[in-house]
Amino acid sequence: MRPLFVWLLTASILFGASSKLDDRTGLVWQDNQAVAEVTKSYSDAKKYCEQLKVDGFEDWRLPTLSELYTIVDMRRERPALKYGFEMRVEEWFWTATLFAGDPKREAWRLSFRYGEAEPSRQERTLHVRCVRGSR
Amino acid sequence: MRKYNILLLAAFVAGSSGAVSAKGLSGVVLDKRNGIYWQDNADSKESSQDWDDAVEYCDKLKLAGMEHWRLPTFKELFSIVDYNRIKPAINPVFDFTQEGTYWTSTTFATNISRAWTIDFRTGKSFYSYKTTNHAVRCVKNVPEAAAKENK
Repeated sequence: MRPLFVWLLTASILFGASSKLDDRTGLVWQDNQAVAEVTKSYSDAKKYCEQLKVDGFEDWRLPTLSELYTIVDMRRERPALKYGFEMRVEEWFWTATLFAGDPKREAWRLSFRYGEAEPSRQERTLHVRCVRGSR
Repeated sequence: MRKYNILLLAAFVAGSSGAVSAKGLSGVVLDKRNGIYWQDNADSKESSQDWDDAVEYCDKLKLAGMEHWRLPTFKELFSIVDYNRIKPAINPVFDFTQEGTYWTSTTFATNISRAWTIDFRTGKSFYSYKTTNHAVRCVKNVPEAAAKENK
């Protein structure tokens, strides 16, 4: 574990901290410029995460709604995002969680403006922050 | 260390399914993992009050012989949403749920006249003026669990 940690730390410094480990959940979050710039439809967002290569890792995926909520800090706003992330975008982000009321057309989106979440049409183009780590 | 992280994550993922009915306690559901009792009686289905009244209602609630209830935090209320269901989008262990919006104790970051709510028709979360009427489901920390945590 320790050599891995040192390697990760070195890698994130060398590669300009493109991802961030959340100690509390063990999840690693994409945190590079693309988080602020890239917007995708739901199905493209899933593909985008699966094909993403950041900090030498290739096992990225779109986070579930519960996972994305673990980096929300409701004591903050605009963005309602935990301390420590470089990319502080107050926009709507895709989650992998399908909306049970209409799973073919809608999925859950979370806004980092204040931390609100709602179902959204899958063809909408929204921001994406991919995650890696076991679930 | 790595094993520990995986265990933590597993516990986190299992979080939403940790609720079970408390044996012998009527009107109450026990979430063993988070160490909290949830109110689950006719009131938790029919209540509708503004935020101040909701806070006071929980404070004065006497249920299954227990006092000192409180409004759940956003995180706590979110943990009983079941996103595989709608109308209501709640862990099926709960029997008394209004297909409507419920209060949390989590006040809106910079505007204390609003607080966070979850709509259990779908699981949608948003902020609402505290003067609006919404449903209430109170929680109470399990004393034993609190004692264990302090060890």
